[in-house]
Amino acid sequence: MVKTNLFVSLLERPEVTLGCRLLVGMVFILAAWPKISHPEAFARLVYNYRLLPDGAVNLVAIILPWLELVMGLAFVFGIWSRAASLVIILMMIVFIGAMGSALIRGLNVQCGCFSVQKGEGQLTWLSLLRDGGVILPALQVAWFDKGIYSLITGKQMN
Amino acid sequence: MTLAVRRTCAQVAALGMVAILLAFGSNALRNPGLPWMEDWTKKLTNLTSVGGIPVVDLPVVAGSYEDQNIMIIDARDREIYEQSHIPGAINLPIHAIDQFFDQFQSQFPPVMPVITYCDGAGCDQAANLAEFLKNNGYGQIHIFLAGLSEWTKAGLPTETGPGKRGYGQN
Repeated sequence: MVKTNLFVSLLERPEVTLGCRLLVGMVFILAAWPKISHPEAFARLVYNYRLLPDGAVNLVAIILPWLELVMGLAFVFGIWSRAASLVIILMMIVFIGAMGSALIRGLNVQCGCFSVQKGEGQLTWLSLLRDGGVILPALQVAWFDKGIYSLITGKQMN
Repeated sequence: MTLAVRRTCAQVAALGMVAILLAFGSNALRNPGLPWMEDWTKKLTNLTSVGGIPVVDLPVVAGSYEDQNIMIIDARDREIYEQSHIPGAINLPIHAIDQFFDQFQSQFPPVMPVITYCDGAGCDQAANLAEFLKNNGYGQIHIFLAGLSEWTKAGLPTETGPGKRGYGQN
């Protein structure tokens, strides 16, 4: 019981939240940049997953990288981090679903996670595990963020 | 709905709007920007060549897959190849090409025309393999871009199991 309380008190420390925010924020910024730089290549990768109707592929390729970048910056600078954490968790769930479905369907596709260059970043079960790993620090922010070390907090839920 | 929940929803919406505005704004400034909508399947299946390598269509492959003088190569990973492939196709996974290419080359020297394929227009392996083979001395290379998905859709026969591996023991 004491151990559990110690763990929770450690987990809810603002420094841990800051660490989680910086980690996830940087991951999202790094993931967004190649997609923003090469939208056509990213659109092709989105198409390769064969989950969306053709008409929706480019819209997703245009919007998704900027959504990643904005949420990443919101995390790094502490701008409405709890709201951003909800979007990030939702995005990760969608990514994991898409990747899992591609793997189950036996599609040999590129992950499209951190690179859109031809032949780089093949989708594997490890990619899925890595994305799952990103949810955990995002959950910490969603749960424990008190707006400390943040630029714009708004009034947060407690 | 409590005030705090409403506030969080508003923040989510605001962050989303900022992202959408930046996305469409940057796309409008890009030259050429990505069209908002595009028929990707048509765009890809209408290609006549990929990276300078000619594309062949379904009737051509259907008419030549039993020809022993043409190598049809499946560029997908082995497990997926074993689930279903074009009868007689040789498996040479592009993702392990460095590991397998020497064996492949000794078993299948570059003397015959080659057709590479993968799952369909939504995969890159066939084009990547064709490019690799072209750079490594294989001539008369073609890509069957419509791939196994169109092959299966057309009701053409498929094979399961180990088939012909382009590496190791067959």
